[in-house]
Amino acid sequence: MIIDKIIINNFRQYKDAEIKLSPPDEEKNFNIIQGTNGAGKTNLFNAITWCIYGKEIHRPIKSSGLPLLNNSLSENMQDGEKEAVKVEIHMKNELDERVLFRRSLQFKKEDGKLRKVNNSLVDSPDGSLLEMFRQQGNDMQRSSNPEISINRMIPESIKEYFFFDGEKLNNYFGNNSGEKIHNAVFKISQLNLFEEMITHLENRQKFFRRKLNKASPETKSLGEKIETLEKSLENYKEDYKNIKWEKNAAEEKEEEYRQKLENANIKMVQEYQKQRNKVESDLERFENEIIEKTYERDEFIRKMTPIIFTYDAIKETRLKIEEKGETGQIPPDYKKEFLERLIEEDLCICGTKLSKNQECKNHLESLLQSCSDITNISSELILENKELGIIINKLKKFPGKIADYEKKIDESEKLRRNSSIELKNLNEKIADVDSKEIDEWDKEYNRCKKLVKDLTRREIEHSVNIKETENLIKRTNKKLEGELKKKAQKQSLTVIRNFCEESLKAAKTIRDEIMTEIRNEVEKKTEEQFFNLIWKKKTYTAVNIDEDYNVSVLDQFGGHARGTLSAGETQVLALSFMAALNTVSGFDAPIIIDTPLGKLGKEPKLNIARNLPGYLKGKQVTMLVTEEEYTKEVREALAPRIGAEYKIMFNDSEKGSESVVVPYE
Amino acid sequence: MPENPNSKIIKKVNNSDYDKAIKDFLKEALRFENTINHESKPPYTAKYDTLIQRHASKWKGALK
Repeated sequence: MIIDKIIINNFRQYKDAEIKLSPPDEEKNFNIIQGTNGAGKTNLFNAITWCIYGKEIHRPIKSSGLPLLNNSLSENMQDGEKEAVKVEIHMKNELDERVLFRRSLQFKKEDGKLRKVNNSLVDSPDGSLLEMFRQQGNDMQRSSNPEISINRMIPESIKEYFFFDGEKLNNYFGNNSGEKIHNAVFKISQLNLFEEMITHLENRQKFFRRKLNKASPETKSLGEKIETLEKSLENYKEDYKNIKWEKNAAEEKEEEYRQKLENANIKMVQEYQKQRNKVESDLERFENEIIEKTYERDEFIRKMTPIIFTYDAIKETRLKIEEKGETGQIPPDYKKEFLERLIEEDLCICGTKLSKNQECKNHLESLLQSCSDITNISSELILENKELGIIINKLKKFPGKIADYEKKIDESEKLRRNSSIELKNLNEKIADVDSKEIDEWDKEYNRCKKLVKDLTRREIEHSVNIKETENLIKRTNKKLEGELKKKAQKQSLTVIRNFCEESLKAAKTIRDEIMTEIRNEVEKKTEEQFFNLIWKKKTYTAVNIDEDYNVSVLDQFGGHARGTLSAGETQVLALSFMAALNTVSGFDAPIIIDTPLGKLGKEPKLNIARNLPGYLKGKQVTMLVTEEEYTKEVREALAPRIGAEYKIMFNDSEKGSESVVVPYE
Repeated sequence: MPENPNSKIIKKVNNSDYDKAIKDFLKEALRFENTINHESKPPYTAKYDTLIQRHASKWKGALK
């Protein structure tokens, strides 16, 4: 990213200035803007930082508190007239596409005073508007979020490493400078992106780890359980089949012996058997009746249980509702809503306009006041009371109904008992018949009957078992399905977790390697540059940057010499360090230095002029220099590296002072 | 205006010995961090989950 052009309108002493900067090429990468002290170098520098960050970084004390708008212009403005301060920086990216940043701030003269014109769309501290335009084909299109783009280009927090104030360069090596430099390296090299990425990646890794811990599939045990259940089901089904077969056989046998007994050649046996058939059938019927009636009674009790338990509350509620009825609260004489509507519609029930009859209105309002809130729900309460009455009546009938059930059950029980006794007698009578054959048939008949009964019970048991087992298998299968899904999820989660771990490891290693490489390279380049620029070649032997980024200069005895460096030497060290940082960081931004050679003597100035451009090859550097800095020798030394050269002319007249930027003659 | 991070970082990631899926993931995550750097509430959770899942599926280490 390079600066192509700077256009300044009405910014302090600059009315209209246009400075075209030269892009860096193989030979020329320096732009020079020379001005005497007070000509406007610092304000030119400030115009650039104001355009980019909305701040004048190096505002001289004499201009603090003064408006940005050009003084002579503001003096000549009439009341109600508006003028604007505007600075444009035209840049080009590495693809040679144009990007324009424009910051403006409007002023208005009111009652002889200059005021800023507020723009509701602006949220910058000084009320100025920053706009950005990007090249789209041959046109420049407005682009959103210019602040974000600027922060990507030259983050404000590290601006001092690109917009140097030569006078203040030695401040970079003050107290806690190590941490400051460390942060600068981090930011300029964008290693903070690694930090952000590592933090975010660690968060996701923790999330996936937690998710993985939850996914503990029980597929194996569930699979085994299903296998066992399926075996049981098979056994139940096989048993059921056998029972059914046995039962059919027993029923056939029972029928066979029943018929034999019915057709026995002893008349009495025939008669007994017929009677026994009927009694057995009755007995079965009575037994079923007892089961049915007992079930009905139990169902009735189940339904009535909640009412029985809430009986006291129901009684109390009824009493309360009845009390309201006795005191005349329900039903209400008037419905509250009805009275409210009448008042709202300004209409009496008789059709009179209430606004025309104050007495009527007062009456309605007093009726409304005497209405209780309960009147609104009175109809519900009356209905509810009826329902509660029905419930209480049901409850009153409860003992009688239960007695009815008991009576019916008792009656069936009595009949069952009688049939049972009758059956026993008949069994005995048949057994008493003196016939071996009849005796055998009867025994077989009874055995088969008992067997059928047993087998029926077992048949029912097995049928229930089969159904339950089938349901259990269904449920377990569903659970297994879920666990299988979890199993698949676990496998993919394991991959994701491992991927996160491996990526984190890689990110940390690469970050540390870059950090070390940058530090070593910055140290090497700073030292190299320092010894190119410094004039005391033998006094100093090395420049060190430790792990905490503390910069030190070693003397010929191996001692730390930074404390004894002169102001000029410290400036050379700072310049060397900043240049190294910019070259090594890989960060693509132009460099602007205000008064870089101010504290230096003749020789160091020349050294810098000869060496710095080559050292910052490929970087666009713009230096704002004084006449004292930009001596004939310095200019000659820099000449092969200069792409553009300007001079700031300061015109001081009665109409107002003005600075203009003109090509260097 | 480049949204790619510092070329040195990208070069370093490219030249490392890690699996291609990991290198691709790191580059894309860094690019994302560079893009969202100044947003107040960047949607990093959703973005990271998508990036991780996409690159993990191409990761050769997954077979280990």
